[in-house]
Amino acid sequence: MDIPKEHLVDMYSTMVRIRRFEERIRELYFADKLPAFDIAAGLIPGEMHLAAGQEPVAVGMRPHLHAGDAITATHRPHHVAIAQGVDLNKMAAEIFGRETGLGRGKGGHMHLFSVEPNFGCSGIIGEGMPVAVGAAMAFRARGTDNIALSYFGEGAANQGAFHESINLAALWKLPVVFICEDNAYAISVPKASSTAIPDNSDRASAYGIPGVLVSDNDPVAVYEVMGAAMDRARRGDGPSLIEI
Amino acid sequence: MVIVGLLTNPASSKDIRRLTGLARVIDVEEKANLVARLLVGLGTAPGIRVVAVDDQAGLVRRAARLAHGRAPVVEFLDGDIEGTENDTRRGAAELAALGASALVTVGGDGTVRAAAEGWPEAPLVPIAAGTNNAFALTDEPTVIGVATALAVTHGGAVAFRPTTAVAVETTQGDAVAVIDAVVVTDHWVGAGAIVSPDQLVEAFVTSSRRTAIGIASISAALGPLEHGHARRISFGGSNCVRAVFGPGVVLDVPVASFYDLPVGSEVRLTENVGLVALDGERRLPAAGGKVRVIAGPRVLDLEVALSLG
Repeated sequence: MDIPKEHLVDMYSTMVRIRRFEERIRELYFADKLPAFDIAAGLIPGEMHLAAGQEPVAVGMRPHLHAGDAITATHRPHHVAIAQGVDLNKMAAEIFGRETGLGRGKGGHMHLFSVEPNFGCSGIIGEGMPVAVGAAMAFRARGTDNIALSYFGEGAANQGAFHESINLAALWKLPVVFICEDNAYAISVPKASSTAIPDNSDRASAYGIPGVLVSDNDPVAVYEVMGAAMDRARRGDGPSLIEI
Repeated sequence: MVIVGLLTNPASSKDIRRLTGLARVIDVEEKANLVARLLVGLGTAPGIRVVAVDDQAGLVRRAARLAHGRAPVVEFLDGDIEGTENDTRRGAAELAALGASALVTVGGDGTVRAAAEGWPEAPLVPIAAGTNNAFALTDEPTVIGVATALAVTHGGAVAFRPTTAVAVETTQGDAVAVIDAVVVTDHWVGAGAIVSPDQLVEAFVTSSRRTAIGIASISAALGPLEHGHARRISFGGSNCVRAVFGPGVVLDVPVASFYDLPVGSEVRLTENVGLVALDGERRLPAAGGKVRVIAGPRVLDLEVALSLG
């Protein structure tokens, strides 16, 4: 497959942007919390979940996005939001709890909501999955070629919402791509301790949809797989489950 | 006691071709079931040790539990598991050093390729658990197990037939392909698979079996291939052959020319652009590359093995 150079350059520059953002947030987050960790202290009170290292999962879908596509993500959302083009200043302001933030500072880093582009995330595990299915239903009702992308973790794959969402999307052949980011731990629980099977992409066959395992954290591999899955959804061939 | 080695690939049959064609996932449970049936077949002859490379999915351990009481106990090689094809390559070499009489692989053509790189003259028993399975045996694994047990306990070198392979040498590494080495226009390894004939520049193919799919199907459409030969195919032009490019994918592929090369031949790659794909997966830069046609691994002949009993 020929990959346009502008796509490669765009993915790389976005990965660098994500990495610099995450590194800077990390510096500012810890600046006033140490030496004895005080979660309420400093510029960013509360929890923080950074995605440095998970850049390929986010940027691989970016060149395939259409204006109006909806994306839902997890409590570890920055890389996906940046890849979709969420306003960085408003996003950073929200993380710092400022009035100028996406949610006027009331949501914080796990609850980033943007209308344009259409992005939302939550600290509730698996929350974004039925929301993405709903967005896909709306796109179908409106007759547009927009699709929904649902990012979730391997821990969320054991939630009821995972099964309900994929089942309904498969049953109604909705334009949604489910993306499982497997970073091997749900907080501190290793996947082998929580999940009966080794690969969540295997679960796709239980719902009659294609499942793909991307075993390398490779942006070009993600680009190719996401392109095929997103094209499939736009064509009306239904959902798919990608595990990265 | 004779040793039967076992290499499995939990990640086979899960790639992008689930989206670009009608290929299905062969999940870990299905693969564990295939291995369990193989183990039951191996259990039909006494004196067999099964030595396996462990895997991150616990595939072999699941299979051993399923087959418990009806099969040989499975032993595992020491060593860290990377979760890559290096496990297969390293495992094949270790099993060769142990003196295994047969090497069972469970995976796709890429799994067989990695095993052949680790043990070039391996007596292979390749069980199909991949996408195209142009090389592997697609028969019932229980029968394959029975046949393997007969072959290894009856001194059955005769039960393994020779094959042809191609050795690829590039400025950025060497490799072996058991079915095909294909120069493609892509510059990125990416998702690995070849999904369109638009990507094809030239191919070196060791199979012309009419029931095979993938690049071998293109070769089959061009006519029979003599044993001990590989076919060099140049793509392009206006003359097409119809090929089964993958599961559920039938395409017309433009072929400009072809000719057959005997074992011992060495040729340079035509164009030093793009990548060389090995057994269906983009792998090495083609720059400065050359190909040698070589003797490949040996493969179990089921009918011959079953007649030993």
